[in-house]
Amino acid sequence: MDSYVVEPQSLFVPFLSDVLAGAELRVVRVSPTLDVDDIRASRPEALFVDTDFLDVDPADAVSAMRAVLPRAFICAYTDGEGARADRLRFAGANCVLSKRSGAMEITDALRTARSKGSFTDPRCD
Amino acid sequence: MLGSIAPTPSSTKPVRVLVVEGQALFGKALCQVLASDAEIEVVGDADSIANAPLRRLRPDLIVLDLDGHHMEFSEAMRMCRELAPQAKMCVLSTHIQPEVMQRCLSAGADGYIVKDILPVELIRAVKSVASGQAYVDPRVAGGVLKRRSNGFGRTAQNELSVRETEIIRLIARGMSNKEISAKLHLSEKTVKNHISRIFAKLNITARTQAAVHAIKTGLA
Repeated sequence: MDSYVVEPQSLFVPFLSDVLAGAELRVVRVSPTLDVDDIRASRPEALFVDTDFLDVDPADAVSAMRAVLPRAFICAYTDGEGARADRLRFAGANCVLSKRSGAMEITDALRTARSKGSFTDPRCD
Repeated sequence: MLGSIAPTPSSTKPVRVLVVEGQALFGKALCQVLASDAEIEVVGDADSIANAPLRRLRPDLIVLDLDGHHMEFSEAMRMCRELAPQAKMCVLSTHIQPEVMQRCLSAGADGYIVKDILPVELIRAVKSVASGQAYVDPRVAGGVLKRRSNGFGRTAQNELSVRETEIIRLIARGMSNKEISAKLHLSEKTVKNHISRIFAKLNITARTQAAVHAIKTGLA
């Protein structure tokens, strides 16, 4: 799947791209900030968004992405838990992934989310 | 004639760095970037201070994630100081608010890095701190200067102490004075005194205002 990554931690992106590749997500575009117009123009099949650096509410960001790309696979990568994870799911995230996850956990979670339609890391609940 | 030979960069000992980062994958990326520099040796990584073998590794410098700990930041700093007194402390944070940076420096940090730093700048920051210089993300430092030039910096007496910062964070989590006193092992009267000082410094009159301040400034 062609994937769009919203991640401002630039030194992290090459590492993350390798991990996503393990779950058949090919990073085709990276943005350090949420740019809905750019997402709309890029039309990726999957979106991976680091929710902890956004200057808008993370759930609102996911809603905006979902509105632009109704069929895309959306993964929210977060330090948050509880209510925040619930809101991310409700906003349209297919996968809510904890930042405590190692590389293998991330690829497993993404595969599970893609095959079953959704996945929430238990540490986020 | 024999004489003393000045150390060259290639003969100096590398800086021994320990990375403490709760975000597992980011921690690995940090280690990889740091290890790419010949003058830096990554001696270990851990997901929390509690799991970091500080005494055994004896790092020269600890890169410490601000956000990913299950303990108060000041407590994490205290543990580092106790178990690795020789180590310089470089805080990694997602926050660019000057208040957060000031809180870290007040708690004893030698450097303050924001996590969207470029690899080359990260290496520069770590080397600067290891050599005894302070390092603060230029955007955050710029924020401090802007506030001062706008007259909002006031004086140090308006800045919250480490203890007051801890308390305002707990207020923002909805804790009562009794709960805060139990958590911090203080009497309720002491907690009330701290809260009175917080209100006076922030020029506010209600706990909800304190909570809003904490959230806006990234303390909570």
